[in-house]
Amino acid sequence: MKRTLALVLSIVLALAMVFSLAACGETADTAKTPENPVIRMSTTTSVNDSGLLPYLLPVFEAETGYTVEVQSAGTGAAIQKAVDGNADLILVHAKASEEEFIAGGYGVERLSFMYNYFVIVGPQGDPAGIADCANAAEAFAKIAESGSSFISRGDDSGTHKAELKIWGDNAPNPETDTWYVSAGQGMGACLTMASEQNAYCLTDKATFLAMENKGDLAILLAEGDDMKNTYSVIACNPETLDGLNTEGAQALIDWLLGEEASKLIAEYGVEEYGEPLFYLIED
Amino acid sequence: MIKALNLKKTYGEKTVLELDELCVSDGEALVIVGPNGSGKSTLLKILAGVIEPTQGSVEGVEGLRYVPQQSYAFKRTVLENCMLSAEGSRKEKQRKSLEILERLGLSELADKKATGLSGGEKQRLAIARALVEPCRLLLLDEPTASADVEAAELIEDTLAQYKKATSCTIIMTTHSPKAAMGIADRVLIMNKGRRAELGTPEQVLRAPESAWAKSFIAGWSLDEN
Amino acid sequence: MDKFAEAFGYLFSLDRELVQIIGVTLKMSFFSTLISCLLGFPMGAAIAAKKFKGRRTAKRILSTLTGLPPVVAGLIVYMLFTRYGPFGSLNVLFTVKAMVIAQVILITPIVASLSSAVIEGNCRTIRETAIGMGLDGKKTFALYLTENRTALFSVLLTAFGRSIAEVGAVSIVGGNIQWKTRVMTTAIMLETNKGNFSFALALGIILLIIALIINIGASLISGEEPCDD
Repeated sequence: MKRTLALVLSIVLALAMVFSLAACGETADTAKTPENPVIRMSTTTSVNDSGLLPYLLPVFEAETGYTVEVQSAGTGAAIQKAVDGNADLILVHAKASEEEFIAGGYGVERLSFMYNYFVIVGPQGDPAGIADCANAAEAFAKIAESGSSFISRGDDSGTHKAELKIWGDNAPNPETDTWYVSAGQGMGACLTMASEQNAYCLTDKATFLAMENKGDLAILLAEGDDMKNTYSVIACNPETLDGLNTEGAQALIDWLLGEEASKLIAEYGVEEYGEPLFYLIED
Repeated sequence: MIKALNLKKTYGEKTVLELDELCVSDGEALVIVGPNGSGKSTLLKILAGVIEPTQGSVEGVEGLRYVPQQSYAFKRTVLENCMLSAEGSRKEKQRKSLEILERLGLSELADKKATGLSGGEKQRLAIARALVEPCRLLLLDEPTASADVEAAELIEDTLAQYKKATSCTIIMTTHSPKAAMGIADRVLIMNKGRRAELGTPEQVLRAPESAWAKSFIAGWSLDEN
Repeated sequence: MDKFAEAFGYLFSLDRELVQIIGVTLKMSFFSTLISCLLGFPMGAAIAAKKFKGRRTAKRILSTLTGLPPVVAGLIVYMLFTRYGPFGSLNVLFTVKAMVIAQVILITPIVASLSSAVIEGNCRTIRETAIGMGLDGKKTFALYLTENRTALFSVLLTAFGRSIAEVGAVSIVGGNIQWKTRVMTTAIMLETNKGNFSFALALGIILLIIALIINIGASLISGEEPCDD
């Protein structure tokens, strides 16, 4: 009895292995497969958490026969991966770091193509009373004054850098200002923490809207003049780095800046959230 | 009074023990002898409660101490091993343990790590652990098996003294006729898991009933020489 | 390379934040190890030595739980202690307490499984001997543990190793909060995410050195002879 059971199990296992190997062998039917079909894109967790890429990229892939491998990490790591030669292009939203990247010879050109706004989310009751503030700096001052909990990315990311810019000279000290929590985590994780602790947080709108369990959090301040968040694509520089798929990177960049992509980006999120999550930069 | 009724122990198809009745009176010393595989150890283990009989029941074995054939020394000193089964305050435990260790010739080894003892010394330690306190029933499985002549004498003397002092019941297995004759009130000869002879030493050893027992006794004495 | 040196520079200069992070790491690992062993050793002994109904099932469940992914353990604790969960009112989330709880859930089955394997080796002999000496159940149970103390100590060190190296569960339930719940592993994650790979690597080596020091200390306490002595 035991022996037959073992025999049956091993046959099932063997069949499973054969089938999965066969499935790998199947190629998705593509119109024309370019010579180097894999494009490696390094981007940030914020972009990833917004869901834009899984929405856009399949269209590009179907049309061109390219496959885009998206790697997301914190802004710093995303850029470092490109510096290490592990990406063909980057898509980030940290102007200073981007300019450094190009100045160092790793990137070709900074092409800003879309933007959205950072928003300040917080508990619906708004204990610090920031809803009527004119801009983020004012709101932050009120939060600091009232000692309300605030979750900071604390990870040198684009969002974190934007947050620090808003604080300016009044940046709180995570060690002594106990209401200021330096979390050292991605956007999604920080928002979850904010929801848990009924705290304020600076976030990009897209990630917040895409978040499933918002708890008691709501957008309290949106669209201040100091809250704009610009996204750029930069092709990695073949003169400095080896083994790049320059053609593929260029094809993807051209497509992202083109009409079809613009239309799709402008539509993204409208049906689900009633408003677009990204705006196009008119050039 | 120890009563074992209808004891049977089987391992699969093989029956290693089959005993319809065995009664041992309080204060009696019963010595069990027989060739290897006759079921002596199995019987002792069942009486000790270490293994379960396939059939049958055992009564009257409360307050027992059992010394198995292969003894295990705990990872502590010889003295501490003994103190494990002693009772009372720490000082009393120590006193009783040193006393019994002295009787069994182990006092010099009292502070030595028990795991470093020889086989014979470990055997004596196991006996010391059993004898450090008085008990109602003492079960010993070949207690002099690993002992040299001197040690065997120590063991036999200690057992005899113990029996006198505590009037406990002793059931022990042995291959040594000397031990059998020395301490036994009754002798049980076992063969292939069954009782072959049971009676006083004179009855059994001098005038056995069955032919098999006769030849067993004869062969036995020859070996001892 | 200079990032590497920078990290060790932080260590030798006893940079306050690094020292604090190491402190939290050791505190967390100490309690996780202690509690998982206090729970796991008796569990392992019971499974090895006692006959009870459903023993086989218990053994299988235990074995399966040793494969529990740390991140899942973190999720479970998160869902128990989230504000909207059953124990939300205890305000345990994002504290070192939560991290210890998650690690205990993770490591206890491993400790129990390993100790069970260790004790299976000699529990039969110990039981026989203990019965022969008239020792009661409690004393016998204690002997299962003390007679195997060297092997169990090495199980304890394994538990410690698992605890200090864990990152998935402590990230989720601790939140990597600076000055509060940041430990070496989550700090390494953060530096990696920031792109400071060399720095992160150096932190990793520092972590290993700490683990080495603790293991050296431990082996000085125990120490047994090898087989061919």
